[in-house]
Amino acid sequence: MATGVEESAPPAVEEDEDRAVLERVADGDAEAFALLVERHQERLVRVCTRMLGDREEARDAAQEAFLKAFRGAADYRPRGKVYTWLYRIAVNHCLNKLRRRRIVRFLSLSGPAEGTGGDEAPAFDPATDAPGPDDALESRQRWQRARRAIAGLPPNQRAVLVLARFEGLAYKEIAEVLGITLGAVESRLVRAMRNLSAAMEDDAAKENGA
Amino acid sequence: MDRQDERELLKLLAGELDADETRRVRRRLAEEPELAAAWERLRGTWRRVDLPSEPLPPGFSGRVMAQLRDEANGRRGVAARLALWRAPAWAQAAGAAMLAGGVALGVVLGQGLAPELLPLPAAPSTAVERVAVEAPEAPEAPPNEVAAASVSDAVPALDDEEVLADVYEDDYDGYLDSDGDTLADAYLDALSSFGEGESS
Repeated sequence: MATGVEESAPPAVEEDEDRAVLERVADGDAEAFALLVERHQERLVRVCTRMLGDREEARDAAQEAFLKAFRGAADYRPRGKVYTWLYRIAVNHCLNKLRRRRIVRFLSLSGPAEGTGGDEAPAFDPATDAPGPDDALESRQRWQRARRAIAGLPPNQRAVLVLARFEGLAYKEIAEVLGITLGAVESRLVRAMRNLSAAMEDDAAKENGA
Repeated sequence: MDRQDERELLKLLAGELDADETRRVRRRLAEEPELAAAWERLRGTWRRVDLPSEPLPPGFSGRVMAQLRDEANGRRGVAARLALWRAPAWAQAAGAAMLAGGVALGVVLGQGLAPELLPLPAAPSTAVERVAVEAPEAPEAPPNEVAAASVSDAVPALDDEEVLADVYEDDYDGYLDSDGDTLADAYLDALSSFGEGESS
């Protein structure tokens, strides 16, 4: 598993329970669906927030992903894990949103605002548990830099990075979520890291120059 | 550092190497200063790409369930409205008979009418049809112009991003290039490179 992640994959027992719950959802059991939402809401809201960079849009995307899961539960085939299936629905939904954003931006012929990476949505400013005001400021600046750098990545690279770095999925699981080969996962992650490194260096140079 | 080393270091970072591979790469890191420097840079970037933990929005699951109920109620409402239109079998048969009788009467009457009293042909709807009706004496347009008009009718307007996105999603979904990118990804990456100078 990746280091520095918030949550790793659920254990096998939970996976068995998930499948039992999903079978009931496939029969139209609303109570079972509520249970599925309770179990996975944190994961889906988080991945959508990191994909889209906007809290409100992410909440709507996660909600829509759950409803798609409800509608598609009868078609679920137990080849992969339930949580990777849910990730797949949510990430695909976010990728479509990001692609549409880019097309709208291209067609409007207006580039991103200066100092932003591209798909960046309005910034959120979460509370920090840093001990002093200077530390808190530093944390916020670090997050802003990271957010700008991630927002500058093409959506396909962003998806791989978010799943590997923040969701702690193994390459095999990422390949399953995105429907790509292991080689493609590696390649996208390498390109994402190169782009991030360059973007963060540029950002630091601008800050130092300012 | 070559591409293979870069991939291997990233796998070490992401916990993708088994115990033997990890030992082998760690040994190399101890022996090769250039590789060790690359490792430190990569690890530094990985650590700096840090985002705060967002709390779950309050009442999220309630909202999802409310939306599900709304959708279910909406579907029931549509089903109920459709049911109102369902007539008993005898009424459906009577309706069909009346419709058939009306059509037959129309045909008989139509045959007896003078040509000038017959209904006019439908108004032209496409650009090509309008050209044909409004300028009957004009020389025939070259075939390529007609083809161009037909194509412009068929192609979705460029400002309809939903249509464009769907075209690329539906038509080219499943296509992968050598890097595993879909054609839609490649197309969009090219668009953004053109629009923003973004490198990927």
